[in-house]
Amino acid sequence: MPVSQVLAEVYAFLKSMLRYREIAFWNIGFPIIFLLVLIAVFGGEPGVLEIDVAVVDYDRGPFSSVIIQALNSTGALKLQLSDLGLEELRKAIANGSLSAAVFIGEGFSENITQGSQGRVLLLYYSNPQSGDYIASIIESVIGEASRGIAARIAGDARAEILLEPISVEGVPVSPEILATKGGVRTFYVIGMIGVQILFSGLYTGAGIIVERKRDGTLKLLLSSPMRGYTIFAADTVTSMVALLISATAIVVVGRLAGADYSLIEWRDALAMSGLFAVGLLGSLGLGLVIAPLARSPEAVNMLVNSIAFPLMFLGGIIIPAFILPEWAQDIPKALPLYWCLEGVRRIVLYNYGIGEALGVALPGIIASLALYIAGAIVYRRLLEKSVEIV
Amino acid sequence: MSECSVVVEDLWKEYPGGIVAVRGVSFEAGRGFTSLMGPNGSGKTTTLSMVAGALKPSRGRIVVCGLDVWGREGVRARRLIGFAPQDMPFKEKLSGMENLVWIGMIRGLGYVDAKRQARRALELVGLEAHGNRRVVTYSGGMRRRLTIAACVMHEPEVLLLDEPGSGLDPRAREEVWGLIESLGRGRIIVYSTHISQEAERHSDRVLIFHSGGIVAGGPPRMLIERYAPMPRIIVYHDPGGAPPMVDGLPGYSRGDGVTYYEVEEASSALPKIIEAFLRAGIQVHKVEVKRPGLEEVYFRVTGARLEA
Repeated sequence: MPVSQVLAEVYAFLKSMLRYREIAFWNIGFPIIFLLVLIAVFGGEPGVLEIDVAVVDYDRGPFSSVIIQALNSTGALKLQLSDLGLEELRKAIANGSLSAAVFIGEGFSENITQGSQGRVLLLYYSNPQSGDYIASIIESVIGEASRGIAARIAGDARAEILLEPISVEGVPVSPEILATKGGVRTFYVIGMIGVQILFSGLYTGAGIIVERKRDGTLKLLLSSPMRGYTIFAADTVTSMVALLISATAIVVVGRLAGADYSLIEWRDALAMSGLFAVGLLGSLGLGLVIAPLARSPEAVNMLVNSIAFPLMFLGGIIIPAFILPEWAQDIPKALPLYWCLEGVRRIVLYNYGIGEALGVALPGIIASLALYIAGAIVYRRLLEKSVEIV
Repeated sequence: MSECSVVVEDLWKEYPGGIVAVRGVSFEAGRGFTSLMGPNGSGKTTTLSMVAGALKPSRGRIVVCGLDVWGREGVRARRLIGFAPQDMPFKEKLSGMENLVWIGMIRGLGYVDAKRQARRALELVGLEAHGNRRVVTYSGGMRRRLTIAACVMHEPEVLLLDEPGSGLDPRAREEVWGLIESLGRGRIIVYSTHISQEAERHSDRVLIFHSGGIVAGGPPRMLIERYAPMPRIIVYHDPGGAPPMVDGLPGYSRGDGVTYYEVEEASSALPKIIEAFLRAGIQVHKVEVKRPGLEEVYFRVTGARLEA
């Protein structure tokens, strides 16, 4: 495939960006404005919505039950029994999935019965605004339970050492970046790149033939010494270049607006670029798959907007999936782009390793590539049809 | 240059709904100018689009310099073709130079080559001073010259031009045709037109299209000799009343106050015609003597007028 033919569209796009204000606006101006609005509205210090507390009870004895009941009785804590290990609990707290965790080890009740102190680990978010407050609530509840246990076994010969039968060891867990202002803003930077991927992919894919039919370039391309798939490759490369320009503008403006990229290393940046690129392939593929439904550029606009706008909000792209209403929680999971963006967010916001992040994004990567291939098949059919009636 | 030609064999184009735009067109065009002449909707543009490789025929074969345009050698065949649709899809806000570079790259030239060829093509069409201006500021004639420049960017053997002179004022049309004549030397030029004078002046061979098929073909002089050798006297008169017979010759009336007579010799027939009208009491406003041309040929062959 002659590279120059693929690059012809890139050349025209770059030149058009300088000359057509609307192209520059949709690729640079719009994402910047949208990003700044998001940061202005939602980019402040994140508040604690709920106090999610996991309890890991390896003891399963009478005194661990007392603690669980006590925690459950407050009504302020959303308790969940868990069997996660310490490291997993730490991660869940660090990435904001949990506010705190109470870890009761094996032999806890036995120790108390035998006159020793029972030890409880309290892992909590060390965020100064919310973490210490949550830890103090839990500590006070466990302290109350401890005194109850002491009273229950009062009169025992060993009563003097049971005045404090439970010791709580606090383990602060450093918040990951999402819990900071810079982190929230970074979330929106990634989200805005996701919005660009969603819209430009769908528009390019859905309009690949009809737009060219309308402006007459399809006739020009078909009469040129070009193989059918060259147009497809040219549009893919042009979309990548457009995304690169948009993403650069978004990243730069995001940084100026306070986004925090401190956790990103160059290898991470490469992995993230790859995930964005795969996400774009998925969006392009999706656009192509729906292309047969649109027979004019106006129909493409209508179709793409009716899909992309709801997905922008409900697809976990600019609004975190975990704050969506319960009925919408599964919608993002059906969108390959969400998984790709999740992979990026794990790297940037939660300090995941590349391997782990790619593991999270794997369903999205596979689905995106599958969509792109499906899109290529649809494209071929559309082109065959177009060559019959230009 | 090796011998090269465009061979079209039994070309058909049917659209869904049973509409047949081209029916069984066959011709061979060698070096020089071949015009496809006919009114709008007669199948010329459809035929050109199929020869250019932009529209797939329903049936038939198109071979350009030995390469089947719609066969396996399609890409190679298209390299030999420069196609100028009636409205070249230029990017209006890009300059003429940038548009040519873009089209050159589409046609397989590398960026550096495309830029060099664009410069050369702009010179060829006399637009070198306007190459950096946005196309949106170009006049109709300049756009058409730019279209021709876009066609010759990759130095093709065959130029396919769809209505190259239409929509231009007479002066711009002359300029464009001067350009096509000079660039077309040694090449195969196939163009469509609905302007009979254009076909007559700028064709080595004319193919007359009517209702999707070719109804006559040959050098313009030959077609005129064969189908409309006699001059025509056109009388513009008051409408109404049957046009009078002159020396046994019936007048052909369009029914709107225009009647014409085909005569062997205009100078002797003219006084007789005017006299006949005066005797019939029909007021004559204007009389024209027209030497026969392709418009008359078209009328003779199809029974219909070649309208713009």
